[in-house]
Amino acid sequence: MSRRRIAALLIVLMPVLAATACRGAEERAAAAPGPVSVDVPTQILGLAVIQENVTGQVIPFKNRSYLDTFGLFSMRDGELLRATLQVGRFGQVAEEGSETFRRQIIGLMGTSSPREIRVGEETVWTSTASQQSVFAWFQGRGFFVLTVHKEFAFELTLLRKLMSLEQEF
Amino acid sequence: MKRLVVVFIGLLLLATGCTTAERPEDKVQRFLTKVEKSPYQYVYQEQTKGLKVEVRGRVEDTIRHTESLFVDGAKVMERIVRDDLMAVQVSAPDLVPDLNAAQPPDMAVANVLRSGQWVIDPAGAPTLETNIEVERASVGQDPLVDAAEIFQYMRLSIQQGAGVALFNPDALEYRHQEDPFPQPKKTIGEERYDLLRLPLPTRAGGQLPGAGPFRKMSFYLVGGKLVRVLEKIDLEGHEDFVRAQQTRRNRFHLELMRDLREGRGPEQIRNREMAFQILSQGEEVTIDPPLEGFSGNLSVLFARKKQQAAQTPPQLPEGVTNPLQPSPAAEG
Repeated sequence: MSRRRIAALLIVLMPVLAATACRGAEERAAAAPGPVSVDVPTQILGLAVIQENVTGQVIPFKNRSYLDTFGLFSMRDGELLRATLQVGRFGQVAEEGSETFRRQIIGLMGTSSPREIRVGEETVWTSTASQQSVFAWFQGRGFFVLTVHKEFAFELTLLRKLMSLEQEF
Repeated sequence: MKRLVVVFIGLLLLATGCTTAERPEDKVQRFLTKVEKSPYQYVYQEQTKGLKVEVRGRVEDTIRHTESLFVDGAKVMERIVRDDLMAVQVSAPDLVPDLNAAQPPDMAVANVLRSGQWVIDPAGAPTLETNIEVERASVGQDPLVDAAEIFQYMRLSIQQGAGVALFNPDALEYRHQEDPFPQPKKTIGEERYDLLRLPLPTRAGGQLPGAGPFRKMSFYLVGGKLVRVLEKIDLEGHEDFVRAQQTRRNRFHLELMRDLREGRGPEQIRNREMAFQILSQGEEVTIDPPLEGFSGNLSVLFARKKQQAAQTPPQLPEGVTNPLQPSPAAEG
């Protein structure tokens, strides 16, 4: 995957990385988000899954960031990129359990007005961007953003399968 | 004693100042959300001039649900939506004009539907509409969509109304003869909340109204749960228009009614009576695909949501057999 492509895909999640906690807590040691370890299978719905190397693509922030780990997975049908999964883990300064905080994070994504839907017992926010559908959800301390190209016919099946994966944060 | 009284009054004032009563529209929104966030079963009915449509549905979540469509009491079709998959079985093909108008390459699927068998389209599920305005404009075109998106519709109606109020038959502005809905049943603790209508414009020069001034909508709650929603949209029956027709004095209202009838407003106002009844909420609902079916493209009935790059035939999901294809055991 080209650096330009990775940079374009990171646009959805970058505002969350850039968001800083503005509470008057004591200063924490500045730390750039490190790579996330997520158990995603190598094949899903016929798509080959690769964890992209985002080292060096993420700008280290001196201020506190909401995410302390970050990962990017590409899903391909041969050479064609069909979907990406961006995964982040909220750090200690985030209030990921708060409904208000979650809505603020969703609002940072910068896509068209997201719609709230229910998949199983989980809430997912969905919206559309150019030629793709975007899905975002929270699980424990994890924050997930799935983008699927409109030419891939099984976006909802993919969404449900990814949501059912066991994750540890 | 005097000091004690002062302290008590002070505490009382503080207590009332700290609590903020929930606005009725927020309360109704909260109860709508409560239903949406759980599995539920419902009946959706719409009566327009000369046609009664009913949809009986079961909802597991937003992308897994099933509906049975009835027209004037006759079952027309059943639909199952399970993530990207959609399956349809038609019971009354004569009541589905799209089948008769089918052209190649849809003829094979249309013939299977006419025979009453299930057709399963692994990628045929309807698009998740994220543009609420588009949804509102399409109400009446597809009752299955109208039923599936009813909560979006109700939310938008509340947003575009003039607020919500607890039903009060003793209120000065209440007119019993203009109330199309039943009063809440006090014996079972039923509460009714009414959508407040936007007023009609009173003089020329402003924007023509949409359906807002003509929509009456009431939400019924029992025991902390939303049990039914009733709606009536009646353009010609608006009391101001009725009075204008009877007295022939208010030329502005007569012309306004004429303009809206002719579709010059921001939306086509479609007179109807709608009832949405929630049969159960919170009880487990599981949506499974049919056990047998013919694999095919359902665009003959519903616009396909995706343009697939390759023209490969869709694959049936695991565990579902096609009765039109012999099994390997039968061939052997």
